[in-house]
Amino acid sequence: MISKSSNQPILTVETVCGYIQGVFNAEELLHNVLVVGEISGISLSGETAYFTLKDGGGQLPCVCFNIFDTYKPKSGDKVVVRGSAAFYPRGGKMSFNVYAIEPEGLGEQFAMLEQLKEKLTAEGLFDSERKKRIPSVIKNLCVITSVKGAVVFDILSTVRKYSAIMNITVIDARVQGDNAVSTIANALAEADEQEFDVIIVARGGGSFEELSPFNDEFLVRAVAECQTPVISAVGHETDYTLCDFAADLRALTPTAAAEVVAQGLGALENQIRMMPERINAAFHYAIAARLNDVRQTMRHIVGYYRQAILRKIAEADGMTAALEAKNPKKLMRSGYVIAENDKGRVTSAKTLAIGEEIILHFTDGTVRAIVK
Amino acid sequence: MKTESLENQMAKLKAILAEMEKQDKTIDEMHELYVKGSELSKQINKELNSMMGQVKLFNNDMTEYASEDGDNE
Repeated sequence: MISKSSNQPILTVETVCGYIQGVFNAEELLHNVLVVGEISGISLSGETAYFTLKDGGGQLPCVCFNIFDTYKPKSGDKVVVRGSAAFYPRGGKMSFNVYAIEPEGLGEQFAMLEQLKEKLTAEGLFDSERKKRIPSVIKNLCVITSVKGAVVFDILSTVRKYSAIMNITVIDARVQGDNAVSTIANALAEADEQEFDVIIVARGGGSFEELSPFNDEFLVRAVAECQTPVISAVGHETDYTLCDFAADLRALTPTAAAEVVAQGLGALENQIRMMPERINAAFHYAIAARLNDVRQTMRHIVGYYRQAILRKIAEADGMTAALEAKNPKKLMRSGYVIAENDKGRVTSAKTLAIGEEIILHFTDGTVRAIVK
Repeated sequence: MKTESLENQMAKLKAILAEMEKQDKTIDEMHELYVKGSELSKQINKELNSMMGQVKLFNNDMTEYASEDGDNE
C-alpha cells in the first residue's frame, strides 16, 4: 500500500521522462565531454554506429551518427570519444551521442608529431632549397613498396600505359608495422647506391597508426638525405606524413606518382614513334619547295633560251634574205644581165674602156660583146 | 654543243655572204657560194626549229606539272 500525503501529486510516466530529459539537457557536465573506454559490440547501420563504451566500473550505450567522418574503431579498441549524454523518453533509455572518436593516446601522438615536424622544419629538412629536381625524362625508376599490395600493381600498370621502355625496379619493403621503418630505410639506402633517376616510396591509404612509419624521424631523415630524387606517394590525397615534407615531391596517390614519372619518357616515346611520319612530311615539303624553285629557275632559263633562239632565227632570216638577194641565177631570171671582163664582175660602166671585150651572162647562156 | 655548231654554221654563212660581196667573183663562183649558203641556211633553220620545238615541249611539261600540283603560278 503506497501511502501519500493529500497534496502529493501523482505524475505520469511522460512527465517523469520529460523531467529526466530536462535534467540531462540542463546538466553541463553531460555535454561535450571526453570519455575514455573500450569499444564493445559495435554495429553499423548506414553511417550510424552503435556500440558500448565500457570500463571496469560501468558502461555507456553510444551512438555515432557520422562514423565515416571520424576514426572507425573495432571492438576491443581503447578510445577517447567526445559527445553528450541524452535521455530518450519514448524508449526510456539514455544514450551517449558521440561526435568524434580517436584511439586513446592519439592526441599525445599528434602533439609529438607536431613537435617533431617543428624540430625538423627548424633544421631546414623540409626547405624547398633542399628539394632535388625530378628529371623530366626518367629511364630508371625504383619503387619501394610492398610487393603484396595493390599499390605496386597500380604503379606498374600506370607507368606501362605511358612508357614501354622504362626500367622499373621494385624493392620489397614492409609498409606498416614494427619493421616498416627499417626495411624502407634499408631499401632507400640500397636504391640510392644505384643509378636510379627517381625513387618512389609508396603505400596505400591507412589509419594514422598504419601510416605512422612514414612519420618516424629516422625514416624522414633517410628520405631527406637520399641523393636520388624521392617521390613520396603515401596514402590518399588527404593523408599527410612527414616523409611527404622531406621528399623532393609529394604525389597525391601512388598512381599519381606513376603518372608524374612516366609522362616525360612516354611523350618522348610518342615523339619517336611519330618521327618517321614527321620526317616523311618534312622531306616531302622540302622536296616540293625545292621542286618549285627548280621549276621557276627552269622557266627563267628556258625563257632566256627562247629569246636567244628567236634572236638567232631573226639573224638567220636576215642572212637567208641577203643570200637570196645575191643569187645570180635569180637575178638573171628576172631579166638582169651580169657583165664580166677579165677583172671579174663589172659593177660600174666607168670601169670599162671603149673597144673592150666583155662577157654578158644570161640565164640561158653567155654572149661576148664589145664596148662602144 | 649544238649551239656551238649552230654558231659555227652561222659564222660560215656570214663568211659566205661576205665573200659574195666581193666583186672579183665570177658568176660560177657566186653561184657555187650561193648553193653552199643555201645549204647552210637550211641546216641553220632546221636546227633553230628543233630548238624552238624543245622549248615548246618544256613549256607544255611545265604546264602539266603545275596543273598536277595545283600550282597555278
